[in-house]
Amino acid sequence: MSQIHEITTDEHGHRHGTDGVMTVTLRGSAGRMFKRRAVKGIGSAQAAETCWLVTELGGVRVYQEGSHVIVTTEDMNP
Amino acid sequence: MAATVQIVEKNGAGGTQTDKTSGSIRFKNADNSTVDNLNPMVKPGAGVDYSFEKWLRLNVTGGTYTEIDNIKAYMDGANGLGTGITLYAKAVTSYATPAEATAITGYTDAFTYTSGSPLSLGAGPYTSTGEKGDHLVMMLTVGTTASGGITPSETLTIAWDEI
Repeated sequence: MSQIHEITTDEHGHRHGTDGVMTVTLRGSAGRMFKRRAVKGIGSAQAAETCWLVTELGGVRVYQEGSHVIVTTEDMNP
Repeated sequence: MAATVQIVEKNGAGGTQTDKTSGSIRFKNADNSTVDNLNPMVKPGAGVDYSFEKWLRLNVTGGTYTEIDNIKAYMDGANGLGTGITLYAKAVTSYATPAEATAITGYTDAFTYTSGSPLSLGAGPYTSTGEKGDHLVMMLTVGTTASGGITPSETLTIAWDEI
């Protein structure tokens, strides 16, 4: 199971998403930040939960899980 | 802070829940969630044998979150169940007692739903606890070209957005 991110907003309106190791900051009020969670492997004993942090600004998305970061305009799923 | 979720199978007139998040789901000729060899699918002499429907749904049991959106389901895109065996899926809003399917009308081959083209189970937003989004209704057919025995396993992914 991957770490589930926590998203907070500071006093300046900047959003911060962290998995406890890596933090992604979205500055300003534009764009959005959310978690894309999934249960993979349903139907087997190997089922596990995955969480991606998704930061979207101007049609570009940054997907982060662990040390892997993807920058794309695609709508991706775990 | 995150929602605590499970994937439940629902059975009977009342929709009794069984947590199947990390448990096997056995397609059979009966409405129950038990993983056993009773009421097996039968290789037909002609046509296909339809399973009973499996009604699955995302269930939020607790945790802290603002909203859940964009619930979806998908497979890996490759049917590994074996020759003559097809798995179908559809999204249904309201629960009905699982019945033996009689046709594939309204269903789509589940393996056509992939991470790049998933089946939507509801856009939301959803809040609080309880079952969220549409039911994922699945059923399986066994044709005349199928081999006997237990099929290889396949797995399902259910994903959602959360803030």
